[in-house]
Amino acid sequence: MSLLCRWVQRGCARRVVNGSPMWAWQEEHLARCAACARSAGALGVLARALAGSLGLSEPSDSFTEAVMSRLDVRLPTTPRRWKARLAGWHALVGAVVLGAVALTAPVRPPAPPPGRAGSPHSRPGPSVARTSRSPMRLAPAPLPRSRPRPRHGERVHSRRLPRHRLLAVQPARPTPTPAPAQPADALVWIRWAGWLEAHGDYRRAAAAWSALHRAGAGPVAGFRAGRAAECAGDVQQAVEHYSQLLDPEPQPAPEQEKGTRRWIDDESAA
Amino acid sequence: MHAMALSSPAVAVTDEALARGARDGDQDAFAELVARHRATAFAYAYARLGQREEAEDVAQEAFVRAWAALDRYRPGACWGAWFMRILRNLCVDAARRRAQHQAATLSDDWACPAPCPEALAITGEERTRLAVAVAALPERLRTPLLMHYGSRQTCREIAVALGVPESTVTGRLAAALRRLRHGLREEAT
Repeated sequence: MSLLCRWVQRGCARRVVNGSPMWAWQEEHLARCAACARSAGALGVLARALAGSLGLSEPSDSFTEAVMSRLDVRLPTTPRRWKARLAGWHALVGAVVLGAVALTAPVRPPAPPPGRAGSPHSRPGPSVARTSRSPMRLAPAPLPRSRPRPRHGERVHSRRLPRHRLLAVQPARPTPTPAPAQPADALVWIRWAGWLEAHGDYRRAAAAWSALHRAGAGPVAGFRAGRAAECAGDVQQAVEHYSQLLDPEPQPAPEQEKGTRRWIDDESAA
Repeated sequence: MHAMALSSPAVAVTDEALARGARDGDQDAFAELVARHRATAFAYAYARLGQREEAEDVAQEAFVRAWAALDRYRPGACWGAWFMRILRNLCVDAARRRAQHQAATLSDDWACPAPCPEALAITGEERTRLAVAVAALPERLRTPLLMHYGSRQTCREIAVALGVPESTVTGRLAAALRRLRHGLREEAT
């Protein structure tokens, strides 16, 4: 078989497959070459035999329905758009739950400012009343009684709030100077100590009230320091605070200068 | 390579538009895609696997996989080619599971249930010889041959299913015919 015959027979096979036309010179060669003409005819017969012997294979009529039913089975888990919708619902439900928790959770505000201690809307937290004689004099106020007082040696479990909520309601923290020298600083310390008490941090509240008491804020500060220490379970410190109230340290007597009335009285007495 | 030549060319909606709709949750659009491509999918799976039930199951699984992976389909690409790639991978897996790569035989399903006039011209013995000769073809020639003569798929549809150019399909079909004729002639002599 010559190369030309092989080329022509290849063209014949292509024509049998898809009916593509042959070149003119190929047609001329087919008319001249008996072997190529016989091959072309045999290929046509073979193609028809194939088409007849191989049964027409088509999918079943319920193919599409079967596919769609399998889709319905897999719908909740497979496509991501359903996942996205579910995620949206989850986010919405989560937001609602968080909002409900945030609304229902009791949050104690910090102690009211001193000027609003007697207002009808004031809460039963620590109140501060400013007297007319001295701005540093504190009126006695009841301690928060929201929880029972812990027994001796009992550990106090204070409820911790989320950090963002703590920052939202937290009053201005006083400067770490232990002794508030100015009345304004004392008010900040009072608010700070009351806020600590309201949130169950009695140990630090005791320290704040103690600092106020040492700064000369009055016996109420010492009393509340003792109560806070008692609530914190530190009985020894509470006793120290109470003892300081009952037996204050003796103030050194100022030296009397000669020529004063006291000196004269002493002289006359002598 | 553009969208597969469809059985209903009058339909204006392209495969890509239907795929976009299906990706947005439209099951009717996906059902239309299944109706368009089911014949080619089944023909390819049948030609590769040789068992009717298994071919139908693999083809359906390919559509389910395509549905699940629609968000990974690039909108500008040909949906038919993308889907056929999934089907080809599934067929390869199925054939590997059965370990029928080396011993592929035509099942009796390929026999024509209602013989046409051409089929009546050849005897049962010739039909058996032809089936044996087809089974002896390599897979790259046998699959397009079975798809073309067994499932009446056009060369363009076969090209999309196989992921090759249309001219390659034509060349493979022609080569399969010539090799079949050569094998049958040698067997006769």
